[in-house]
Amino acid sequence: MNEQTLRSLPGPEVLAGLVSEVMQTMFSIGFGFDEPSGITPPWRDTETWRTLGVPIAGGVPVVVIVASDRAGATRLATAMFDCPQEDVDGAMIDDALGELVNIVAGQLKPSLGPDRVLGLPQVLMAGAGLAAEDAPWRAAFLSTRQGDVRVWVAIREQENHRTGGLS
Amino acid sequence: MKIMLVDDSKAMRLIVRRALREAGFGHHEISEANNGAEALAAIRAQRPDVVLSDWNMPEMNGIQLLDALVSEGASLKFGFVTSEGTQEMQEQAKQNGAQFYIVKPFTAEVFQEVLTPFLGRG
Repeated sequence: MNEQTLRSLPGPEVLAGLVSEVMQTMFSIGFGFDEPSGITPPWRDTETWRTLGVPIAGGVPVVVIVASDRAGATRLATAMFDCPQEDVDGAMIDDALGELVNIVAGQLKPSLGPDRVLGLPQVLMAGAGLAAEDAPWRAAFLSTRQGDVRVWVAIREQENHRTGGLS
Repeated sequence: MKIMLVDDSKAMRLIVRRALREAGFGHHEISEANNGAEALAAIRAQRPDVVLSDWNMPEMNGIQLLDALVSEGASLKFGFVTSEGTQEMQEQAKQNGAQFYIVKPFTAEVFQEVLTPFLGRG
């Protein structure tokens, strides 16, 4: 990603604000900025984080990413499915995170210029194209006041856009 | 009335059901479909009065579903519940025959305001 593209992407405040708005509006879960220092980007630590991305095609293709740790993702799924924690499984976590990143990407799309097309949420795995590169990204790290939900939200150029794939 | 929810996310279908209930529309008969293709078959069989559809779905998306229903002359009210709120998409939806458009994230109050003309007062 070149510096010009990076500068044109929404900053951490915008990303964090969108996640906060979605979760507060729909589930009354409040988030604040947290300190991400010492934490490996989630797409490189799949032991800890579950990561989903939504590609946005058109112009320079980008991908919007949301990740949460197991406990946080379970809490999000509990809120979305309105069920006890013990009923939450992996598919429900992916569905919940996928819907969150889908809404955030939809909110970001108009700011990225005309003729953008939103893709479908996909699980991002370690070792896939997206995780392999060190290209810069814009990201924010958030957590609830209780610290029971930690969320990464990021946007970056889609690395293998010339071949059209996400991972 | 019979309402059909079309969304590839089970979580979102549950959230929409909850919003309908909180908006006072919980007494209506509600069914679900996972994408446009599944919805098209279910609509032909079940004849819902109102369809609330996501836009972005695999197999057949929401606008393709709307176009298919219009071409069949289906008699129902159709609207979108989607994360995409650009003016262009809202205009396209209206031009293609959609009666309402709700952008995620939404509240039960938004559902009440937008859907009361189609579902009546809860």
